[in-house]
Amino acid sequence: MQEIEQGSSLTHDAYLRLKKNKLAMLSLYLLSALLILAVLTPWIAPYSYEQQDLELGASPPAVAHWFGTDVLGRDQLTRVLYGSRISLAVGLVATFVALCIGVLYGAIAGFVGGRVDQVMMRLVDVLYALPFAIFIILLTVVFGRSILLLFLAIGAVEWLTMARIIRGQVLSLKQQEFIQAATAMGQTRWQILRKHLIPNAIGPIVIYTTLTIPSVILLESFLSFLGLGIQPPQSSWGSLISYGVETMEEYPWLLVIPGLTLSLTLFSLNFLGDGLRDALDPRTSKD
Amino acid sequence: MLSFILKRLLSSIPVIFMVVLITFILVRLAPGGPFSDERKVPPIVLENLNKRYHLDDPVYVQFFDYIGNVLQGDFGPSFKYANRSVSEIIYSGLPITVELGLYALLVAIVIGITSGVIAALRPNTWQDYVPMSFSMLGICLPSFVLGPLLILIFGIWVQWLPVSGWGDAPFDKVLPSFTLGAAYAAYMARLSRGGMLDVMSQDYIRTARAKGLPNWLVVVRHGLNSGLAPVVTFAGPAAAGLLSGSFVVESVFQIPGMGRFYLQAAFNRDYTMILGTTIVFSVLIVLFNLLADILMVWMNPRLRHARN
Amino acid sequence: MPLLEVENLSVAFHTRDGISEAVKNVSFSLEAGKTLGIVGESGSGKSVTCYSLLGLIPCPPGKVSQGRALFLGEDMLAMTDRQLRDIRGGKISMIFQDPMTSLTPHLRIGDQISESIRLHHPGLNKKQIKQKAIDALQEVGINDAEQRYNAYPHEYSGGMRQRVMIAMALATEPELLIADEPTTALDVTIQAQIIELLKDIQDQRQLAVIFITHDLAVIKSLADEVVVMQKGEIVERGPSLQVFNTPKHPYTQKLIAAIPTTAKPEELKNTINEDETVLDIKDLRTTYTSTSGFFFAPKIQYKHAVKQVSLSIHKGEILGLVGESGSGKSTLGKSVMQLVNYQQGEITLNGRNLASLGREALRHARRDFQMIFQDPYASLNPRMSVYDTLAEPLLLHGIVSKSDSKKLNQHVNALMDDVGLERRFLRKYPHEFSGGQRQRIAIARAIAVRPKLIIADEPVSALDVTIQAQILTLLLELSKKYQLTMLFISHDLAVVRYMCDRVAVMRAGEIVEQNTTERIFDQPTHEYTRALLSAIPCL
Repeated sequence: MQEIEQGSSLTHDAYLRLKKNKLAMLSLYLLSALLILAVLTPWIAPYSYEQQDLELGASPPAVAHWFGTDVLGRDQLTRVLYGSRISLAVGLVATFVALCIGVLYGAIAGFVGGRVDQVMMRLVDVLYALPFAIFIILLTVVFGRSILLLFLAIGAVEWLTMARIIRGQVLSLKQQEFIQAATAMGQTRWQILRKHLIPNAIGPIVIYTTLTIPSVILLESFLSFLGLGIQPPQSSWGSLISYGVETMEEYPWLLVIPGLTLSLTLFSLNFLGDGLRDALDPRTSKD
Repeated sequence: MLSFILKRLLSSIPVIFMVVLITFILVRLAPGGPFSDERKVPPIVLENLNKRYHLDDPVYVQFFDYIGNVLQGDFGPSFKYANRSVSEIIYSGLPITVELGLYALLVAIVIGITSGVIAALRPNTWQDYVPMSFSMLGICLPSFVLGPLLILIFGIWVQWLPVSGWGDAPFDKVLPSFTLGAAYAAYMARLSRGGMLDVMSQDYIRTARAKGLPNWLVVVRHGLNSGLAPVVTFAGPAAAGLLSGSFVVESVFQIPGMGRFYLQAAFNRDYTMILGTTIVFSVLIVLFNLLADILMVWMNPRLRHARN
Repeated sequence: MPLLEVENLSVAFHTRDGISEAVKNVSFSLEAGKTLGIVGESGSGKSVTCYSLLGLIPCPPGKVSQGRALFLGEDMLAMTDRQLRDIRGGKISMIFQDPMTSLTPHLRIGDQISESIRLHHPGLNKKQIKQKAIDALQEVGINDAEQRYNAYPHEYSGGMRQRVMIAMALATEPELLIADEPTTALDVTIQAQIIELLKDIQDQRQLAVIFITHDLAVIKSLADEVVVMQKGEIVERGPSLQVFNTPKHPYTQKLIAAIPTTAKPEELKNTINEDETVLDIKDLRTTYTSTSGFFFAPKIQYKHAVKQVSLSIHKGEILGLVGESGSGKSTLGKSVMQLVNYQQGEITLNGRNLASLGREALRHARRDFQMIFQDPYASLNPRMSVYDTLAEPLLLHGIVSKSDSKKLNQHVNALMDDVGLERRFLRKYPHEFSGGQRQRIAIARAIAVRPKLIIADEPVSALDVTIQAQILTLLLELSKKYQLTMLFISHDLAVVRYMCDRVAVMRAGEIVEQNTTERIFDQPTHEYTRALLSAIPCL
């Protein structure tokens, strides 16, 4: 009996490639750190969220307050940390909403194909042409400003691209001979979907999910900046930036620090997404 | 080609109609009438107000009345600014917003496409890395951070450029246009780089090079057309993004455009104003998508002929 | 002085995984007006050699590491980009393999030809340039050249586009034409026309030609001299007849032996049971529909890919289905496999009409007929190991139960032995194998359930000729061992002659002639069959 050689699956290859990408790995570490900090915030934050020090007022970064304090003497580090919780939560939850709707919709359209596909994708085209930021603002006006609405509204916007990408992926996979081979072998549609289509579509889903999170965070910050998203006393990065802008001439750190945090997060997510794309994209794999 | 344009024009009518309908319904769904959260109004006054604004008609009658009026360019009176009609406000704000949007688009196209194409021609060299790093910066620095930062740097610290107004002082259009256009320049750079990289590995590029054409001619004559297709497809979403981006830029730079009025309307629950501006924005976006589609077909002879 | 003299050319590619030498120490020379054939399989460096002469390889990662290439006495490898551009497309023109993708889609044909002329004949005015382009189009046999001048590439067929490519190459009056697999993507009858055209032009113009190809038969009738390349090196060179008739290097001998020229040898013949019909097709008609236009008023177009086809295959028989692209032969195969809808007529397999089966019954019936696909790179799920790929059909049709892993292992191992793959590769994934190995895996998957009928759709056309010969032999051995009945679909008449007991010739959705292989090749009755046969270049 010969010794059986262990093969290297595409996923494993992709992991090795990703590990070689220093920028993507750095981004991954940074994001993990941020996520852990955000989760642990209530326990590790140096001050309490509402603790004011009116005598101190706005002070630049110092030993006692690493990120400085705002006009009411509240610790900026604490506020940024609490803001991260909201921004990241919105980013993850709304992306999850978008992911669920988009994958389901796109997969159905692509898999069923034909007339159904045409109608479903025409609808997406029409929705795509709509001014969504305007609609979200409209919704907040009509239904009041609540965080739940924010989740749903943002998720409902972002699923469109996801649906398009998944559909394209499914369509191109469906034409691949190995899917035909599976049909010819006598597998059920469900088996084909589960064993052949989904495992091969997972790469683009992962990539695109990673790239959707930053655009969701951006959209939330945009709304909060305008005062239409997260409402006081809660604050997200967007609302912190918006406070910062009001006083940026006197206290620039109140603008720069939350802005930098937001940008750094977006950077990391985008770099990670790009890294994943390079690692998972079949065109850059061994063939 | 002409019949294609006509078809697409016709098919955008139901889209616009849907937008108007949805907006109308949403606004009607809003809790409380426009006058309810004011100080206590005597019922008789309220009734008169309702009558004046035709709020006591059945909803569908109101809807079709409204459509009829809109088609004549009348968006009704503003609920908040008693002496100004929505149309007046739109007419004063729209040209400014459109101008701002076009400048931003120009910034996006010129900077974005140039750097994207250059990067694609020298992949994995500094000519690639430098513009692509800036493009990443552009994507990750949202306009509401970039705008204030630019004001801080160019307006307050070095004082080179004016930081508010539109057309009041020389060069006061520079910072807002750049702020709004930067992110889209970044996206376009990435898209055109990707598109060009794809194209430059095509067989027909090899043919063109085998003819002995100089490199720039190969790129311009044989490559750009297909290489920029992703950018053209992106133009529709970009238009939508530029318009909503104008909300931020107009409030940061205190520009009296439509975006600012829209925001104020949203805060004030000025329903006629919201309705009117939403419709105008939607029509603009739909038209821009239409333009992008036409450009797309026009650039591709196969589609151009097939649709004839 | 020779027109072109290449000395010790070496080209290397610097990639992430290290340096790979694509061309090593290659030397050859070419006299004016003569034809040099460069022959080799994929990866032999035959194209890279010629591309690097003209500076057409991408650098980086490619790099000419040493050598000289004297064209009219001047070293092209030492020239500046500008000097080289004057030669490229002017004195030396090129034509490429795939005419469908080698013309710029958004530019008119005429403009693409004129562009070259303007570049290399700067003295001509607009009218003269246009006239020259039209003359070139006429020279390659495009009749209404004046009108065609304004057409776009998509308005031409593949063969016509290759003519346009040739016209474009000739319009600048080159002294050397480099043709890189110019007929590989074309149907055999079109290939014959293009080769005839190239020969005529060469005679008239006294043009020197380098003809790069993997197809020995094509080069034999064309070339004065031949060089054979393997893994970046020239292994044999000499006058064409000498190389083909008395090959010296073992690789050349192997290449020539790999081309099937006869029917299959007796020992690989299967016993055919004429009384037992495995597959019986009656009046099959397969229609594709495409819808376009508005949602409310869709325009439905019907394309009859297969019209009124009847044929039957007996037990143990290999029936060849031959046709050019668009003849409907693949659609016929897929119709039998029940992979396409919209069909009428009867397909009876072992006495059961497949069309009458419900979805569930059809799934179970699929055990009896399996398919081998054309592209071994696409027909295996890239995320499943060989073991999983082979175990799948066994488990699916209940040949082995999932709990009985020992029996499953035995079965899978036996399959690996059957197709000549080493057992230790079982845990590897498709991308870790070569094309030929992948096709072996696909064959193992198809025979795993011991089907009564196998449909092989161009199973060797994506493979190199030496690999092709191995796979063909494997298929014959397996069909004898397991008494397989096969529908063998191919565009390659030589392969069909070697493999099949009977042949059906298909054109435009209809079978124009079917008979025993011997009779089809010796006494074809239909004119289309005769045309096909006379178009095959032979060794």
